[in-house]
Amino acid sequence: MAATENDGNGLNSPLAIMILLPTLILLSVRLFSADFILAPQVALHLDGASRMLAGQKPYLDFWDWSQPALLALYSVPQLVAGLIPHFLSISDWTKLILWVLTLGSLTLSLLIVRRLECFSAVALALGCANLSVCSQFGSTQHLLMLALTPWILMRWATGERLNSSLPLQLLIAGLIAYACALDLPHLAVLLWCEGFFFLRYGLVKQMAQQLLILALALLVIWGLTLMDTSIWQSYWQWTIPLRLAQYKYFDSALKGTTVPDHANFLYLFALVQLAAFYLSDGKNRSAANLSGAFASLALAGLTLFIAEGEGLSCDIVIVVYATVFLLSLLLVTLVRRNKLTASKPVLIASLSIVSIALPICILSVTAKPAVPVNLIANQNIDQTILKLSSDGDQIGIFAEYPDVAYPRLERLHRKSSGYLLWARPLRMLCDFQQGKRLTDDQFSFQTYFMTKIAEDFVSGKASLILVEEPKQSELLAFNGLDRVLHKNYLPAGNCQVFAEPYGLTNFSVWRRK
Amino acid sequence: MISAKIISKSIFASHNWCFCTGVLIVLMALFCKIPYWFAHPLLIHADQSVYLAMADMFLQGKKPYVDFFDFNPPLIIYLSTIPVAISKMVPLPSIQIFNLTVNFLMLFSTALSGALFYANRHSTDRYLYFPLLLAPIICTQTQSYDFGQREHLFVLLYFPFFVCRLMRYRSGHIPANLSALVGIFAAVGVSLKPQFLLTALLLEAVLMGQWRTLKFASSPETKICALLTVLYLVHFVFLGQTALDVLLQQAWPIYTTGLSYFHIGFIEGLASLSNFSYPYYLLALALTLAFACKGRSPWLEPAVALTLVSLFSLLQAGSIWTYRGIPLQLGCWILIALATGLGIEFLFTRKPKIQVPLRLLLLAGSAYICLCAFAPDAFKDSASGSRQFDLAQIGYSGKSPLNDLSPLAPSIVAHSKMGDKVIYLGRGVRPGYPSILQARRNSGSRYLHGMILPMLLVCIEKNPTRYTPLLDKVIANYGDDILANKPKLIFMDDIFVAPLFAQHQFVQKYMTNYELVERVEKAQCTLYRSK
Repeated sequence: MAATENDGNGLNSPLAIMILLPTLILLSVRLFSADFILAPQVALHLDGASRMLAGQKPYLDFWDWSQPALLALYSVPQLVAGLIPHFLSISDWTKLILWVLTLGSLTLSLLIVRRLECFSAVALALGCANLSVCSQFGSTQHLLMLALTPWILMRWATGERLNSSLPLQLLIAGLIAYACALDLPHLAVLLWCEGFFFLRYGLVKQMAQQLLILALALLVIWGLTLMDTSIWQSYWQWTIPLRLAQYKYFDSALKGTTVPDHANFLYLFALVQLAAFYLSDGKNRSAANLSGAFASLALAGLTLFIAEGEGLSCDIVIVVYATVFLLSLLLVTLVRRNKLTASKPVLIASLSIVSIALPICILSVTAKPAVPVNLIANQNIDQTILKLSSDGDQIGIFAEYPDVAYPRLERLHRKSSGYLLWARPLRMLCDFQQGKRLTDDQFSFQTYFMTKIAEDFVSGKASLILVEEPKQSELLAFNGLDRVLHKNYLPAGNCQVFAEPYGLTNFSVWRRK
Repeated sequence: MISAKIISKSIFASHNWCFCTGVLIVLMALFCKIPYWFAHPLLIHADQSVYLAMADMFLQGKKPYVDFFDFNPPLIIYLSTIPVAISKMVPLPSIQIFNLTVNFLMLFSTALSGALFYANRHSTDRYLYFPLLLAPIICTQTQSYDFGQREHLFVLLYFPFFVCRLMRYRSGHIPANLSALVGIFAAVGVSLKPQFLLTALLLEAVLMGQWRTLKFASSPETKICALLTVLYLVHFVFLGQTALDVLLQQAWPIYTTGLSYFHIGFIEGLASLSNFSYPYYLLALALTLAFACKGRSPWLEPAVALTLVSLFSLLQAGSIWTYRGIPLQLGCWILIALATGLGIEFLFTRKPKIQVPLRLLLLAGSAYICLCAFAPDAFKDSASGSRQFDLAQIGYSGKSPLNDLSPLAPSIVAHSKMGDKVIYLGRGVRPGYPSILQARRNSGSRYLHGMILPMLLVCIEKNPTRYTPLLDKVIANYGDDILANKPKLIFMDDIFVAPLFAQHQFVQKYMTNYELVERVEKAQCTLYRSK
């Protein structure tokens, strides 16, 4: 698997595409199956995007720490749905666009390695990696992976003295710049990988040029998405400090009820890292460099996952993606290295078996996480929303983790309401207040969103308000907002929902007077 | 390339500049925290202190598992007799002696590794030596809560063996006496816990696989290590039938079945302890460096193996006990050291023209890193500013920061006198220990800690027929110990133990001679004193 060689075994592009095909079919079937639900964050981003399309300004009229570039991206399915009405739902358009983006990322990646012996291995690895994170399609980390994979492959190829065409370089640099504008830590992941490339290859002129293109693209995209002065100010003064403070924030109420337990995945992670170090062909430096690049990507992802400190499935996407990529790459390398597969027919047969068995294994492990039946059975949030509100009604949600509620609102044809798309700032700023004064920026943000929440309650736009119990309820009371709520809304019972990483969460339900 | 090697050789051979810089940095790293340990004579944490107390009982002639109970193999108790024995000869608290002994072990371990490096000072690997020497030192100096834990002792005892084995496979020069010492050290290290032995065996397999040879498998250090390990295993036969019965029929079955009581979810750990995530950050950095340096040093493969095998061990432990991550930390520091060494080599061989400023930069940079790494404890110690505990109250001279005392220690000092017996009826080691040791009192029960109680409850859930009588027996043993030893003070945990013991009418049966003194809010327990 040398970067500079053509396919030594005569494994040409059609074969590589044949190897990729089962994975792509499985991915498409999974993505477009009736029971497939988009990642909870996607519903949240779609909600934010719809508000932006309605003329609201992020951070000022509604708050989520998603960056404007992300909301802009998620406004695309809504725009398309508006242009072609009654054809597909927004959710289906989103799936379709994500599928196209995935194919685009695969195509760009394969364009870079098309002349190399590793073509088939990379093709399978890319397919399997995407399949493994299928349930998190559209989450910010997955979007980063779509852009980062061609970038890493391009950087690796350039390091191995195989230059890509300038248009391809510009396109990939633009994509990664956009991906970095989606969420703040993405830039850190990119820099981590760049650190690896620098240590591995040193200062290569072409690589430096690519970095320059990237820097320019980043400046342009950040400038465009944050051009509005009011957004710019509220972004730097309110949102970024809170996002950074999140990394030092420990939530003792976390129970770690992720399904499946992410700690178990770390065993596979460790095993694959070990295998990547030992099995990547030491004599073939370029193959070892490719493994190293994706291993360091997995490690950057692990750092981010640990730093986020919440154990959410959307935080571990990079680790899963890079680990499965490495695993697939290693499996193909092993098959090709085996003396038994020296003849071409045997090699093709072996690779075919791997290309079918591996995606099926991945799908069986990741497709339907076994959430304990008793937790699912106790959920009654859907019934409550259906019973107490009508189609198109607005519903306000006060939840520490919004993942639970947003996908439901979309499925039940309700809209979200209120300034805070999710209520983390309420809790964080309240915790920061214990024993010390808030900073001026924190205080001004707190004052701003308290006023907004009070206005939301008074306006009565939301026909229902769901408040996570007991914490969010206590926080509303602590800030004196419970009185405004009680004045405008009536208690209408409780409902329950299973949510990572808390387990079963209770909500108190409030109905407009 | 050859000319660069010659230039670099001349740098190292003609001037001892680099050697002196390296020695200076290592010495600074070794000794920078010594004043800290003198300023904190009573600073110790739960497990370390309970083994000191057990060692004291052992020196008094009491038998492990018969006269006092524990789940772990006895080697740590034997090792803990060293500081306890020394403390009987010098007027210093055993805790302080323990901390200084661990520092001495670090010094000895470094000296041993240093001697191995010195014997191979002309090797092409020599750039790696000083950074490698720093790896276990930094691993030690960055410990606070887990300083002196078995995992910590293991890394100090095993590191010279790791170095020796690699040099053996690299056909380095290993003097016979050093080889023997290294073997003895390693034997002690790997015998502390079964997983350490497994780690060592796996690493040996990695080395064999890497060099594709078996000829170094029976080197002097491995023979000595294997022999002493076997001897240690054989010594179990001589523990006596009663001790073996307790160990094999109570301690280990309860441990294997009931340890899940202390297991926590990964995310819970992440969210509840700030230092839980530290080894994972270190892992990410170290492995990235290892992948970036892959193929540039044969030391990398075994170091990666050590790191990832230790990661498996940490994940498997699944508990909040952060000391389980110390071998992982060592693996990471070794990888970081190797990357640093390779960086130094690169700078010295490829950039000979910038020797002098580079050297200055190197010295300044290294010193800065050392200062930053150790500053929190060594240079910014707040001991002098905090409230002090007069050591005269426990028969020594001097003072200790009051913050170093465990929550029960002030109550013990206030309500009993030196040498009195005290029992803590709780579900863990803390806060009974280190409080009882810090107050220089003795344990009034064979159960120095109450971990057996919640573990037994987990066992009962799984197999009530077997374990219910055992729980009854343990509670009766506690009672018998109170009647026999007449401890001056009894602390009873309010949350877990009080309701459990109430079901057995424990107070009515065994504590009629005790009066309630106070409730210790900080430790959520109630203090009883003999009338």
